[in-house]
Amino acid sequence: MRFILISACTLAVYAGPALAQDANQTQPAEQQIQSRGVDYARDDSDRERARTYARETQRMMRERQGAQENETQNAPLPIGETVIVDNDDGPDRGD
Amino acid sequence: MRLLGVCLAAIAALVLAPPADAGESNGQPVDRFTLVEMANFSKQIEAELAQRGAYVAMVFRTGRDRSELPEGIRYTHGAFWVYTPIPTQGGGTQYGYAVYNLYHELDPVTVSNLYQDWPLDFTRGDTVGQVGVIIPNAEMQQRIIDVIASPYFEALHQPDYSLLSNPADGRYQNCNEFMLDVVSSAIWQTASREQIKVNLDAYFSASRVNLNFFQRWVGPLIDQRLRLDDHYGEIRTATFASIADFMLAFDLAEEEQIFEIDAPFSLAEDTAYPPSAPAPAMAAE
Repeated sequence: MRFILISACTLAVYAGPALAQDANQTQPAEQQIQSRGVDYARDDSDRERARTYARETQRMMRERQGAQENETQNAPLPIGETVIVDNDDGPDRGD
Repeated sequence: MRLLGVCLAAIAALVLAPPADAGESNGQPVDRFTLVEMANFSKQIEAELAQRGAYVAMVFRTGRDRSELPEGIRYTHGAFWVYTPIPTQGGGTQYGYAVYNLYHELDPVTVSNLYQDWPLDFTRGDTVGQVGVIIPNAEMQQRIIDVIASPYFEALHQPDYSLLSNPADGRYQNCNEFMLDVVSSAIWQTASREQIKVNLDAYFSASRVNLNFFQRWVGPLIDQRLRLDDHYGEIRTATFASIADFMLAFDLAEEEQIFEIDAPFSLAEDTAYPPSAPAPAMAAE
């Protein structure tokens, strides 16, 4: 019984500082990302925004199909160098 | 006696990792690596998809160390990556990928929602530095984007969340099952989940998850996301591997378009896709 109690407490003691350290370490990196990232223009609604992007993709795919049937099917797509940073105030998403 | 119960619960909560965190939350990102590393990795993935001409891809990551996952399960979260022009605040346009996820909420954890975010948000939840990718063939990409752009996309969402949802049963859904439902809607041209579940039961072979006695019977008492009453006998769920097999079996993707991408700092010990790929070099400590 005593062993179980000690184990639980020991894990809690180790986990606490470790998590705190991680949080501190990310702050300078956060600033670095902000300096090289680009905020996207926010729309009113997340779902409407998502659908708008998908419709743009639909349009681009159809244009490409129409332009040349097979030759450009798997041709590379241009892509920007900057990192898109979410400037939404909503929650971060992770594990 | 009560003290013993409390202690056992505390220990169990600390040591019982979910067997396969098939979906993920909208909580804080994992941030196992530095933010700069994650940003670079997100760009590396985008560049690889763009180089292959992918408008729509299915990308998977793991938010837990592989040692904590059941045998055969490599990833815990999957989402659609969709190539699109993104208007920026400066008035310009950034071409890149928007990410379409199903995440479970933090409170209550048994409810999920659909979120569109960005590649960096995706890689911030990665703990290994490796992602799995399925690029559907051109026709399937077109069909999938047609679903994503339509109200069917939301109609296919089942908010009742389970970590190990059974893809042949409509009661619950996790992120992988949601992707599978969208793919199925694109294949069979229906938004009826009932019809999709019937078809998946007939044509989709889900991955078997081996849970020990403790995980199967005590796990649901500790983690509300482990709802297993949609399973009959074996626990089976949709994974990167089973979705990849499904896509290959029905000619929905080419074999060379199912692969894994390693970050320069990857901790992954192997590369399973394509099967002939050499093992990645271990990252320097």
